[in-house]
This record gives sequence, C-alpha cells and structure tokens, in this order.
Amino acid sequence: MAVWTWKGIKKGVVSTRYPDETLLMPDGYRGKPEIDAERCTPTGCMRCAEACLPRAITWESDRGVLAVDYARCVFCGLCEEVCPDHAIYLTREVELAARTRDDLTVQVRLSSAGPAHDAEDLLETEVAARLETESRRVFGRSLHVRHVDAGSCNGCESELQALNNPYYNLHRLGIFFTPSPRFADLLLVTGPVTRAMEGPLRLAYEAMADPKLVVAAGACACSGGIFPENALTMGGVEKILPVDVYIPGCPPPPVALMQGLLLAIGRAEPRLKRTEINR
Amino acid sequence: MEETSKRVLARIEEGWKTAPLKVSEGPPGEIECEVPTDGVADFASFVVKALHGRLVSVVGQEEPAPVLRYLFSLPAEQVFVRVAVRLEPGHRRFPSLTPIVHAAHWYERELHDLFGYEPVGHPHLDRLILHSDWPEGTHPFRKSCNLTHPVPRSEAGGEGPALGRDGEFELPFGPIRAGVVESAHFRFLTVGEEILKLEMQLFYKFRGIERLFENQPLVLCPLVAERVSGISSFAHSLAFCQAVERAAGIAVPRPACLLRTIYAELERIYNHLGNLAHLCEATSLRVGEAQCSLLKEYAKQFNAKLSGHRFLRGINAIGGVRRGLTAGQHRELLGAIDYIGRETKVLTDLILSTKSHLDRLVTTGILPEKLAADYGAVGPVARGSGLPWDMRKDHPYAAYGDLTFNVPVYHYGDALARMRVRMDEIPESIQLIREAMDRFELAEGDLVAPLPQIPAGRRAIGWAESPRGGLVVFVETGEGNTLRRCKVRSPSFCNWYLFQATVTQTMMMDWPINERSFGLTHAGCDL
Repeated sequence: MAVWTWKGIKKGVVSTRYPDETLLMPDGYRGKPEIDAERCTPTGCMRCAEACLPRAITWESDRGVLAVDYARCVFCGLCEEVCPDHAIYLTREVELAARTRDDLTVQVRLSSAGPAHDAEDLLETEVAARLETESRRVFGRSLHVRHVDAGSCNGCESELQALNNPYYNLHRLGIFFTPSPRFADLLLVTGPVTRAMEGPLRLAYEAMADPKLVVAAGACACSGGIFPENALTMGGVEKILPVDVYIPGCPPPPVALMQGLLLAIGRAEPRLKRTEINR
Repeated sequence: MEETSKRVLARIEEGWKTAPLKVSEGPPGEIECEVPTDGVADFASFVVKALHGRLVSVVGQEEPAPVLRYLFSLPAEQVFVRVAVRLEPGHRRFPSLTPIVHAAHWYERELHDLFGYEPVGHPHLDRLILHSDWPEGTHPFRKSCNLTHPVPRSEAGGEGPALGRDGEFELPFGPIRAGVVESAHFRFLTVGEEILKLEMQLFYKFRGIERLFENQPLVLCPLVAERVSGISSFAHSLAFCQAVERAAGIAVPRPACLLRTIYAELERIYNHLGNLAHLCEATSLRVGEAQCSLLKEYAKQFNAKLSGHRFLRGINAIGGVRRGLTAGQHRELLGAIDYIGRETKVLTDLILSTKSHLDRLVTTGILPEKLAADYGAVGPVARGSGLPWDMRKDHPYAAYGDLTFNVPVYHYGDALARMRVRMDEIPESIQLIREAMDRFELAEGDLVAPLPQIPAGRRAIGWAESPRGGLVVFVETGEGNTLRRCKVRSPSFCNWYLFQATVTQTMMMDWPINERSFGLTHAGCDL
C-alpha cells in the first residue's frame, strides 16, 4: 500500500510566506529592463528599438523620446544584448503589476527639445485610492477567480497552475480559482484575445455579478504582446473589457501573478509608476 | 549530394517509372521531388509504401507561386523527401492524399481553410480552423485577405446539427472550461455514463502565428517560435533555428549542440513531471499531485537559475545559443539533476504502487497501434501504442547522434502505457544531460556561429523531439535575411484527432484522465 501520507508529512511545509517575506527571482533572471539615460549615445542609435519584436521600445524622433512600454515587453533581453553603451540592462525585478497602462511606461528624453509632460492627474490618484479601499473591503479576505484563456501560448496557464502547487499555495491568501463566472469576483484573462475567443470572453464577463474586477495577465493580454492588432488577434483584453490590473511578463512568474491579484484587491502596492527621465 | 540522399534517389529512380519527376537537392539529407498535380497522390503513395516514408507535415504557400509540399520522413535512411506540387493559379485543386495516407487528413483541411486549396476527394472536408462565423471565400493566409482590417462575422453557421436521437444526452463543454485550462470546445453525446460520440471544435486559439515569421528580421524569429507553444519553447525555437541553419548552411559549433541537448532534456523533464501531476489531479490523488507539482516547481526554478527564464526561453539563436554555463552552473546542474532523479524515482515508485490510481489508468483510452500509425501519431502517445518513433533517434540532431539513450516503448496503448513512457523517459533525460555535460567540458568552439547573408528561395526542414512528440518546421527564405514562409507543425496537431478516436464507447468519468494521459496542448495545435 502506498504511503503517500507519510511522504507528505516527511516533506513538511514548503510554502513561501509571500507577501510577508520577499520572493526574489535568481541572479541573471530576465526581468524588468532599466535604462541608464546618461550612457545612451547622444543622438540615440535606436538599436534597442530595432531589436524589439513586440515594439515595447520605440523611438519618437519628433519628440526626441525613447519610450518603453512594459505592457508589451516579453523580457527577451535582446535590447541589452545589442546596446553598444550598456545603457539598457535587465534586472531581476518581476513584480510589475499596475492599474493603468500609463503606469507601465517610461519616457526617456534624450534631446532637450520637446514639450513638457502633463501635470499629474490628482483626481485619478484619489479615485484609485478609494477603489483600493473598497476592493479591499469587499474582496480582501476571499477572492474567487475565473480564468479565461483568450489565445495564450499556454505559458501563462502553466504559471497560473503553479499558483496552487505547495510552494506558492495560493489558498493561504484566500484566493481560489472557481469553475464558473457566476461564482467569480475577478476575471483573469491570458492571451491577446483571438477572434474566436472574443464572444466567449464577453459572455463570461457578462455572466459575472457586480462588483467584479478584470485582470490582464501576460504581455499578450496586456497589450497584444508580439501579436499585432488585426483580424485574428485583438491587441489585448482592454480592447474588449475594462481592465483593472495589468500584469506584465512573458509569462509573469507566479510571484508576479500573486502581486497582481493582491494589487487588484487592495492588499499590495504597485511598484511602477509612469516615469520620465530627462538627460 | 550526400550519400544517404543519393541512396534514396536511386531507389526512387528504380521504383518510380510512372510520371516525370523534377528532383532538386536540398540541404544534406533532404531532397525535393516536384510532380505534376495529377500524379501527387500516386507518388506520395509510393513514398509511403515502397520507401516506408512517414508524412510529417504539409506546407501550403502562395508566394512566389501557389505550391504545396508534402514532407515525408524516411527514418531508415535519416532522409526527408519533400514532394512538391505546383497549383494552377486559377483553380488550386489537387487530388487529396487522405484516402491513401490518412495522416494527411487535417493538413489538407488546413490548406483548404487557410489558402483555399481544394483537396479533391477528401472524405471529410469540413472547416477545421475557421469557425462558422468566418465568411466563405476569404482565406486568412492568402495575400488577397487583408488581415489589417477586421473580417466581418458571417451570420451563416451556428451550432450545427444535433448529434443524436431521443434519450441521448448532448453536452457542450467549453471553450471556457472548469479550472485553469486552455480554451477548446467538446460536444459529448452520451447515454448514461457512456460516451457514444465526441465532436471537437478546436482552433479557438488560432492566432495566425506563422504570419509573424514573414518579413521579420531573422534574429527576432526564434522569439516567435518560442511562443507557438509556451511550454515547449525550447524545442520549438530549436527546430526553427535548425531549419534556418540548414537553409543557410550554417554549421553550429559543437559546444552549442551539446548545450542545446542539455536544455532540450531539461524541458522534457519539467513537462513530464507536470504530466504526472496532472494525472494525479485527474484521479484525485492529492498528495501525489502536490508532490509531483512541487518537483516540477523545483525544476522550473532551476531552469530560471541556469538560463534566466523558467521556460528556458531566450537561449536559442540562429547559429547556436546566446549563453553558456559557468563552472558554478556546471556543478549546480549536476546536483539538480541528481536530486530530480532521486525524487522522481521515489514518486514514480509510489505512483506505481497506488492501485486506486493505476486502476483508473489501466485500459483507459486505448489507442490501437494501427490507428496511431495510420494517422501519424507522435511522442509518448505513439510510444505508448507500440510505435518506437522518436526524432532524436530517427533523425538525430544537436548532439543526440553521439549520445547513448533508450526510447521507452509500451504496447497496451492505454493511459497507463503513456504514463509509463513518460516515467521512463525522465531518467533517460537525466542520463543524456550527464553525458552531454561530460563532453561539454572538453568541447571546443564558440557558442554561436555568425549569421551570413542568406540568398532568397532557400528551403529547409528543421525538427526536434519536444516533450509531446516530434515537431517539424519548414522555412523558405526571402530577401534580406527574412523568411517568405514558415510552417510549424507541432506534435499536438497530429495527436488531437487520435484522442477523439479513443473516446467512443468509453466512460465520461474516464474522459479527463484520458485527456491528461494524452498530455496535449491547444496552443501548439491551433497556432
């Protein structure tokens, strides 16, 4: 007779205590790219933008701005590889969830020309703070998530499935995957939204009772990622549904997914904000 | 021309007298035979019956002229034969190969949906990839179809006819299904517990990813390949890079071949551990599921330490690999596979002594060997049904030709057989990694060969044995180091039909166990 119980007891408790303890990716992990504007070639050589498949790095020549959009980034590291000045390098930071697409952008002004940026929208900050308190009140202790695969490569699903392994043990946070949108508080979408999944995705959202949240997990869901906006792929979840939290990554590792879900229910803080770097 | 190709060519010239052939040479071990349209079924039949070829892919192409190619593997000679047919721009019809070579069935339907090529005499020419709301007469891979504009949804179509008669219960399931799983639609016709019939509608995830390879700087293309099927990223980028390397005549340095082998086996290990966990989940063996998924997590964390990514992405480049291993990583790798090997043995011994679990797998989802062979099964699904097919042995690539390993084969064809294939493959993978590591210490050379200017019009096949089976890529180069066409055939595309075939007259409660035992993906099938 198999002694599974003994095997389980012998293994002991292996679960992380995240977020009560920090969970770091290993050295050399390909996480968030950082730009050191001082090292960038004065005129801008643009090799990073040319090496960027999902167009996460773009050069706006009329404004003299190198723009980075983490919602598009697939963390491949080619930008770091081709940069002759070591001006762009990947860190191991992966907790990049944000409430708006804007917060996932970095604007590096390489030349002195160009208009000044807009003043911060104070009303938006106030609304965000109230939403956070309300989400925490309603969902903070128990959250039921309905996942919908809207055409992912399956990498995101693998990391989502990992959330219920003993190491991450999502249940200890009071977060559960539920089989029906009727029982769900939060719709977690992966994939760029293929043509064929647009209809089913809308139906799932409409079947959820209010209050409800929508989270886009992975580059494809956040922005379409490597997939263009065309007749076959819709360019990200926000083209179909209102998105409350964006979780960048390709795929976002389990710790990034946990941060994103906790952010959605007011139990975590976003680490990224819209950034302007002037040289 | 290489010796093996010459031998195959000699046998073709000896055995085929019927219609004229235009033979051209491809990369080493690859020959192309162009036949007239009305002769293709007969010649392909000759390749299968007289040369013992296996159909591994079918490629449609519109530019520069409409053509289709049937790709056959001849494992005895380790040669690929490409049978090319030019189509008349007017009607694009060709005689279907499916009545003779059943494995062609889905490929020909794919050609029909995506290009509008018509396989005359195909026994089941329904839509496969395009759903019923896609308008008639537009084909997404035709240049005339402008994908940058939305394609209207057609009112025609709908749910389709009812499956059964009074007393029979029709259950639609998906595309959104319980749990964190990929999107796909299944329609069951049941009486009580017994499944009388299963219809599948897949391709909800069809992204047209093959188009992303076209007119793209070649250095970016491995990233696209990695995202065809995200849990076999390494095998996909490997097969892709090898296709381009063969088209360009790039010799991959020895250290890179060895590293590629090591990473490919690490990918096999974490996938197979995941499959064991999924099977335990399906039979509600909770501690088994927890322990297997924990070991898989260990493997993914180790992947991240070694390569910077939990799924081993960002390593393959055309010409070799983007990063090597430090001495410290050597030692860590040996320690990690030691640990994985020991822990896997403990878990597999436990699983194999859990009668309640095995009881659910024995005789579940039997796939007969003949059916598997006729329809071109690949991977553990094929090897669980007695077919010793494995591209690492049939067409050695990377460093596999020099390394010692066994390919486990079981014959019963049930879920247990498929599980045992995967269980036995894990220690083989560990052994492969150890042997490759030994040789890597001594290997000389760089990690990547430079990318030359590749002339347009070069065609080649690339391949790899992913955790789910053989995967085959075909490329044709365009101008300025880009690709005109890239066709990816992932293993799940071959195997989903066979899953459907095992379900008739089985029990509903066995269905999820059978599905997990096949262990397929939808992303790889749908593209």
